[in-house]
Amino acid sequence: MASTRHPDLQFLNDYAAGSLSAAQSLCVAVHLAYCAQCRAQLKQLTSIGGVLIEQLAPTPVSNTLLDRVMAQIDAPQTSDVVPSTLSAQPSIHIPDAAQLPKVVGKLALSGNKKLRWRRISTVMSMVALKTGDLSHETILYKIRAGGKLMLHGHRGTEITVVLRGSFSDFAGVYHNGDFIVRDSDDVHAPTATLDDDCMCLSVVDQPARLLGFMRILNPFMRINPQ
Amino acid sequence: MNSDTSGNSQKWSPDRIEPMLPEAREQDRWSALMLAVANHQDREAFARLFQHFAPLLKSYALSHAGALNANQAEELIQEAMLKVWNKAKYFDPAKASASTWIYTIARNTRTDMLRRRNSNEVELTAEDIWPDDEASEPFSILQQRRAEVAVRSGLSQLPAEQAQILTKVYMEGKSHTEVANELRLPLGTVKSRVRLAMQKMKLWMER
Repeated sequence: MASTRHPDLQFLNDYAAGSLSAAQSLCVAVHLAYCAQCRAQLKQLTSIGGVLIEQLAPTPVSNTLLDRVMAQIDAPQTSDVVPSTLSAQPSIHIPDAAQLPKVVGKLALSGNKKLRWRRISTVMSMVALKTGDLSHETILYKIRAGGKLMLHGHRGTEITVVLRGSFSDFAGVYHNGDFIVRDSDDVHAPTATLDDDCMCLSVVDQPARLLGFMRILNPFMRINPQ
Repeated sequence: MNSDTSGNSQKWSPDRIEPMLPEAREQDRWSALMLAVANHQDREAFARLFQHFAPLLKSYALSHAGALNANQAEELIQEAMLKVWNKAKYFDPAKASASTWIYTIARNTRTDMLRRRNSNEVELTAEDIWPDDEASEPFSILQQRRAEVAVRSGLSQLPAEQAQILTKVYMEGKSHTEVANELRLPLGTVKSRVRLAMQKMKLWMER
């Protein structure tokens, strides 16, 4: 199914320009893997960079710089081959990982830290991913088919990209590739649809805000950017 | 520098798509040089590309808000131009102009350099974030050429307040939010100026 919720112009321009944080760029990249329309749009936006760079006032470079580059071209190429991560074992189990965008699989590989699914409730498990972005927490979560999450709000901005399955909240039903932004005014209780488990990528810059009785926990909520 | 000798150029005929504006002819010249590098490892062609693009890449590196110094800017040029040589075979003039293609290499290189500087372990590289698109939808090639022409002529006619924001976002590496803070404008104002600019360049389809 083609995705129907897209990153807006602000996100796409910031992404095309390399001005978006790593974790939020990850969300856009994952959406693009599902959305040909945004890929075409992105290519057009990228040409803004190509035209603007032509219009910069040139800054003279060292006389020897071209020679240094030529010398590097002639040097036996230090292999571009980065240690292959393909042979590395993912440290968490993701069913049918091959069908997800490549970058998700890469982040799920064991780095320095052992990753593991953490069960948050009877219907939800999550794992925190390391992106190197220290201003955003990035998590992967699964909601069991038909499972409903606790009602919560947001203090900052939450971006969610649906990787598989679908879920619904007050504003609609979301499918594969959908890019959903929630900010501090929104309160929701995402519920996975009945037919399948739902898996999502989520990036937040502030902890969620719990409602009802659970709100007593709010002062203790932290995000864990890594 | 006869581009007829290159395999890539045969399917590519910009004249059918657009009248030959001087800027377009200029772009075709860079594209021909890129193809000479791709097909014949032509060093002369590479040197001419270097002479044109290296000083622009330096300005690009120096304009970033995270302030690379002059040495780091030249490291960026070295790294980026080496990639231009090594990846030349992936350059396809039907998909992007040489400037846009080199811009993406510079953007990726700058992003990786800044992330390496800020952290020892880089989990996400530019290649993860902007994967090369292998399959390009053929129908979009025409669109893409048109878009480049529209951006080229449109950008120069934008009101300064719109062009300024695009320059900050694309050259200085600032997000819309950072631009809004810097210019002391509400984010909504920044977004609507960008939206107007896109409409003028006929770039954004409302969804």
